[in-house]
Amino acid sequence: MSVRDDRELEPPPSEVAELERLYRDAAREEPRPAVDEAMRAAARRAVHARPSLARAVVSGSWRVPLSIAAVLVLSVTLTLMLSDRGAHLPATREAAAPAPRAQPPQVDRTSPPRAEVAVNPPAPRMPPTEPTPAAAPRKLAGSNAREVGQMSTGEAGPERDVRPLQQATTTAPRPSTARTLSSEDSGPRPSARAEQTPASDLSRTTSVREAAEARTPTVKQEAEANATPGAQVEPLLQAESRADESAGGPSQSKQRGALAPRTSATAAGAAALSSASPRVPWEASAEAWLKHVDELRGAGRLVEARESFAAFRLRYPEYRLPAGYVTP
Amino acid sequence: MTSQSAAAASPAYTPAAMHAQSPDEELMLRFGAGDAAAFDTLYARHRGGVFRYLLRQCGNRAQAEELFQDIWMNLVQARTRYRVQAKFATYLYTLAHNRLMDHFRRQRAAGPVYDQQEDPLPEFPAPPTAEPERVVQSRQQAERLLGLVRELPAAQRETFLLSQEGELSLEEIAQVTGCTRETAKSRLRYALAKLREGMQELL
Repeated sequence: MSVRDDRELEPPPSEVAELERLYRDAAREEPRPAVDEAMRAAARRAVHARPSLARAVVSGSWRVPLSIAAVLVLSVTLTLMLSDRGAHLPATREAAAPAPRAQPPQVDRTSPPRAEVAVNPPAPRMPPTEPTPAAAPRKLAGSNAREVGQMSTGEAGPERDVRPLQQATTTAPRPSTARTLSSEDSGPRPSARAEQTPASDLSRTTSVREAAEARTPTVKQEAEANATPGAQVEPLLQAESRADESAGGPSQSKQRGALAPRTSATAAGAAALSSASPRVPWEASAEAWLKHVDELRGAGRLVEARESFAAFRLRYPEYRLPAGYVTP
Repeated sequence: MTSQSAAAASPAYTPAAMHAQSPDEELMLRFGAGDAAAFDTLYARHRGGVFRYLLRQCGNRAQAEELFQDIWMNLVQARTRYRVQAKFATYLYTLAHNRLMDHFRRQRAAGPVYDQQEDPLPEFPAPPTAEPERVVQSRQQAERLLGLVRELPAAQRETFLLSQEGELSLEEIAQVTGCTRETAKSRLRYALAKLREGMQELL
């Protein structure tokens, strides 16, 4: 017996051993047989019974089912919310569809020069009716003349020809309007800037848009001309100048004449476009633009500085940077 | 009373042969794994000791049976959570002690309720060769001893009962009752001294 074996107890006298023997003989009470049967039956029921929900809650095994149920509820809720949103989306697009048509002036104003479009037109955005690039140089002169002839009679280019230009201009690397352009590119959302355009801007941009529409077929030819050698630039310039004269008047022709020393068709087209489109102040000259890039870089806006410099390079591809100039 | 003798004293609860030699802890683990026969063996070993511990403590057979059922039901429900951290008897008598404390807490104002008419001492057969005078003397000694146990202070009585019915050591008694080993030792020493003193003329 453990108590007897405990060495720290006083040595059990013979009376203590006799006490323990007497107690074991005297204490013989036991539970009733009915209680015994009830306990054994309860134990068997508990062993053979399936775990109940209450026991699962007590034992903590509810966590996994609860987490699964929560995930299911969240998934169904998200699915329903997205489906509802999708049901409303077409109506929103239809309602917002006319909005981009009211924005060409804004797009035109904030767009990069047309030469940029002509230099690096994104392939997926080329008009679907565009001939294959291999055939373009041979057809350039004739088709260009025909288009110029149409333009000289006052006919504007087809609508589908304007859209590629607008889409192409959305690739402008100008940081200040990047967000607006991207939202325009996505289409369905109406632009708030179009509504906020002052009246003076509207009057100015309307004339610009007319000029752009009149010039649109020529832009397409510029894109083709970029893939052509320099020998075929002259007919393009001539046709372009005629188109500009018919659309914008002789003053613009004179301005373009000031930029005539540029040797590439890209530069010529860029000059022609920049003369017709409104500019931000730093685009007035290459030096001012570089100064603006330096200002951006000095202000820590490195991303905008890089983008602006890239636009500068597109506008002035052959401009010699000052000695020691570090590109952003 | 030892668990083996308790099992032998109740032939209706003869454990299965495969569980007869298994320790209590293994039987409890088997019961938790779904072996109902293991519970039968465990129950047969400890039913008497737990019941007498409760009966001596609360002094009322009906209350003792109610507490007895609660304790074993708690054991059944906790079978899957059982981990071998101590001797099974320590675990079982801890359940009994806690249930008894709850019972006392609810009846704090009234205190322990003893039967108005005490249970008669169970009839245990005397050896056929025993002399009648010896049988009568043994019966008188048993009645006297149980009366002395009932009169012990509750803490000393509980310590004595845990040592006799549960066969717990001083450390295990201290663990069950939530006291130090020295306290348990002191209580047991006082209890034995009082019993020895009360039984002096009969020993």
